[in-house]
Amino acid sequence: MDSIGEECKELKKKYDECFNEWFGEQYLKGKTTDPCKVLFKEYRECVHRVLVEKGIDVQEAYEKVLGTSKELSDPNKKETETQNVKK
Amino acid sequence: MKFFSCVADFAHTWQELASALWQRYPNPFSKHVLTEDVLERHVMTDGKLYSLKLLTKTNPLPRWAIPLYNGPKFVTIVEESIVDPITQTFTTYTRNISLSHFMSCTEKCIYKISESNPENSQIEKSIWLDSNMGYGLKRPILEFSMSRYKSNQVKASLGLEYALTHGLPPTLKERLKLKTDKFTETAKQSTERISKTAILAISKAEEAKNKAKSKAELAKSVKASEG
Repeated sequence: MDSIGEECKELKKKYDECFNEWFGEQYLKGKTTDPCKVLFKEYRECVHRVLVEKGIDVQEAYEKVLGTSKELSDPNKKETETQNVKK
Repeated sequence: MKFFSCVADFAHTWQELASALWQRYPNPFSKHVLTEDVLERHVMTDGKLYSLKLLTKTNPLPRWAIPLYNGPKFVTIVEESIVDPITQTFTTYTRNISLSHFMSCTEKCIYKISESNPENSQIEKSIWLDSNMGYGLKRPILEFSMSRYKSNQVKASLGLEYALTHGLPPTLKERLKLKTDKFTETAKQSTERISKTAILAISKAEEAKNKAKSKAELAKSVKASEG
C-alpha cells in the first residue's frame, strides 16, 4: 500500500515486510521482541517529515482513545442487542 | 447520533485473520483507500501490541454538500489497534480526524475466535455516526453517511476476504511452497527408486532367463550325447 510520502514508499515496504514476518511467525507465537525497530524509526521519520511538509496536522491523531474512557459507548446497551439503529 | 452494531463470522482461524488485517490493502475493493502509514507501534508492558495508523481515503461528497465544504479532497483517518495474543483478540478503533465537524464516523471492531466454532473467527462491530452541523443539515448528512458507510462496508468485507484468500502472508506462501517442493522431491526420489528397482528386476529376470536357457541347452546337449 502507498505511503502518504512518495519518498517513504521503499522504507515502508521494507518495514512492512519485516513487521508482517515478525507478527505472523513470532509475535503470535509468544516472542515479543520486535526486530524491526530500526527500520520503523527510519520509516516513521520519513512520514513525519512529509506530514510537516504537506501541512497535515496529526496532533489529534496521537490522542489515545482505544482502551480509555474516551471511547464512545453503546447508547442502547442492555436495552437492545445487535442490528439496531438508533436515531 | 446514529449507532448500530453487528456480528459476522469468518471461515478462517483467528491467526489467519490477524495476519490478513495488516495486509488487507491494497486489494481490488480498496480503490477509495489512498495511503496507509504506521505512526506508532510498540509492545506494551503486558505483551499486547499497540499500533496507530494514519489512512487517507477519497472523499466524494454528495453534490448538495459541495458548497458547504471547502477542504482537502481526501479524508484523514486514524486507526488505533490493540492485539492481545493471549486472549486472541484484535481490537481496532477507527475515526476520521479531518472533516469531523461535518460528519464523523467512529468504528470499533473486535476480532476474536468464533463462539460457535474455534476454527473460525468472528467480528463484532459498533459504529457511531454524527455531525456537528445545524439541525436542518444534520439529518441529510447522517442519512448520507449511513449509506456511504454501508457501501464502504461491503468493500471492506470483500477486501478482507480477498486478503485472506489471495494475499496469504509471504511466509505462509513460502511454507506452502516448501511443502510442495518437498513433496515433488519425494515423488521424484520415489520414481527414481522404482525405476532402479525395475531395471534391477529386469536385469535379474534376464539373467535368470539366460541361466535357464543355458541350463536347458546343457540338458539338451547332454541328452543328445547320451542318445
